[in-house]
Amino acid sequence: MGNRRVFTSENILAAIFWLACCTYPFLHNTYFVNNFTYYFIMIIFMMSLYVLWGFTGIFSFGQAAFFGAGAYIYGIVSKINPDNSALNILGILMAVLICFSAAAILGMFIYYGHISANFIGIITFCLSLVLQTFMTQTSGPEWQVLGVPLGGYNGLNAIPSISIMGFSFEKNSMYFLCMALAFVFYLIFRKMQHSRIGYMLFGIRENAERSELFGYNTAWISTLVFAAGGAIAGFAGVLYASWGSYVVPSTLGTSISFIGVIIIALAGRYSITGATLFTFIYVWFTRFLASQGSAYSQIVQGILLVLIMLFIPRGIGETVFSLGDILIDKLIPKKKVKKDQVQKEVTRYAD
Amino acid sequence: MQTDNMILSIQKVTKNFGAISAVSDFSMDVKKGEIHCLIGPNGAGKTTVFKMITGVYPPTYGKIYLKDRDITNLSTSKKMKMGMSIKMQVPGVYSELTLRENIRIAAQNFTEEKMIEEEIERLIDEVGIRDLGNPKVKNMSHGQQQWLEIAMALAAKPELLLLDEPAAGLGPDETDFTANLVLDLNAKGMTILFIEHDMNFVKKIAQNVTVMNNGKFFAEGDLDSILNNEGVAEIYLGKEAKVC
Repeated sequence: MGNRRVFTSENILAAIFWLACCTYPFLHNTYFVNNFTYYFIMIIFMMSLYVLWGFTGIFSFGQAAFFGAGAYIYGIVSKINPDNSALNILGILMAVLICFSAAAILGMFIYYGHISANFIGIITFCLSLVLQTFMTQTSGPEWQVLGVPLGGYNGLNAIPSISIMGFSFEKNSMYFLCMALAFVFYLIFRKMQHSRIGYMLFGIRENAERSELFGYNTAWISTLVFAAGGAIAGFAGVLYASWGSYVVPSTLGTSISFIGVIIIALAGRYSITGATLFTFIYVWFTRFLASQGSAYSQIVQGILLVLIMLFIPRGIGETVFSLGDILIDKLIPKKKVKKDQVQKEVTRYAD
Repeated sequence: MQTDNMILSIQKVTKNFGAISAVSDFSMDVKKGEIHCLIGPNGAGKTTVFKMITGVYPPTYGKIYLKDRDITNLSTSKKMKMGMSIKMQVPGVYSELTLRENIRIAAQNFTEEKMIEEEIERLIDEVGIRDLGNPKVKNMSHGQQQWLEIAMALAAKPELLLLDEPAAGLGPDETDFTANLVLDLNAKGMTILFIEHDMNFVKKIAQNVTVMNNGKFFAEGDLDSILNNEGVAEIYLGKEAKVC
């Protein structure tokens, strides 16, 4: 609250990260740039869960349902006529709007139905599982939407890239689009952390009943947040479908949901910067292990995850930033300031 | 039914949980500007009454009026914007956040953003917790958390403040501090309705007392009349005993 320091390890690492991302395409070939584009999509997907779990304490195990739904909706609408740029835009809008509406309806049942927080994870998990199972069996010719076959286990292929006014986002331009969007989401959520909305959501996360007694309509707020999370996940799904040109039923499935949960659990629920950087590192690391072709890669991942959970329970992000700040305090001598200013700062930042 | 000097009127409320009746046909009035205490043995239904007033539990039957307005079926969040606030039995604070962040969450719903810092400072001074600094709430003592929660409750600028066991778990000095705080708030015109088991605390601050037993109204009167009521002594401590 109030005045905050600029030269924190969080700010420094964030600046280095985003600057490095800006320069990356100029230093590497298209193959690597294309891979990195996927990392930004996963960052946006992670943020859809972060706004729920990190800000508001809503544990969703089914964000992939909205991610996959967004990908499918965009794929279907844009494939009606791949050359029609307007349909492409319509596909994006419909994906976001439908995911928002579906999440809002589900959220209303959950929050106005006073369903226990423990069951939200189970309900969202089931949603993801049901959608994946359903889409898997849509292989017959009778399974078409707007004339586009759903493709069953094989899903949709040859999905057009996002196109605005005739400009198609592919390769490097897709990289910069996804990076810019991830950066915008990152800035919004960082700003939110110390805003009126942020504190309102933190209050609901920490003690929803108490927040209700401070005059907050927690059911309405939680429903809106749940809907916003669904919309962001759906939007990430649109980017995914555009990036890969395909979507399959497993995109709706639990394994992608697990990735989001694991990333936020390990990175920590209290730092959007930590979660963003860790998403990048985690996705890169898992891909790196997979590329080694070793059957033990998932075992290595599992062991690392358990170790982090055991020894860094508040998450890597917050721990690294705390240690970094201690280091910065030692390296950079503080300016001499008046005694009353020190007292004011101590009062503000004690603990 | 209402009169000008009543701020809260509870009329024949009943709360059933399935076949169990936690509160039955209970009525009480709280006058503007008084410090009113609700006492009774454990399980008498006092906290359930508070939860019905705040809307956490809707009454099964009966009516509740705040400043002549029927608030029986209003949602909790709406009720809390009508000049009422509560400090809960178990400190309802946000333990992972700092003292100032806690007050901010409580205050921002009732204060313009540009005035929020001033309001936080005002509340800190009003409750007298400036010396605590700005620790994370989970590192504060139970008593300090109680005071913080009172500061948070005051953020709503309430006319009626509900305190559920404000002295529970406090040492003698902390109890005195809390008693003086409540008296100060009352001197500024705030009406206080509180639940308390500590009779020494009740004797220090209460003006009128309502007694509950087994979910029902048992007795009501000024402090002296209740302390000398043999029936009250009996339900509290058994026969041959006195409350004081």
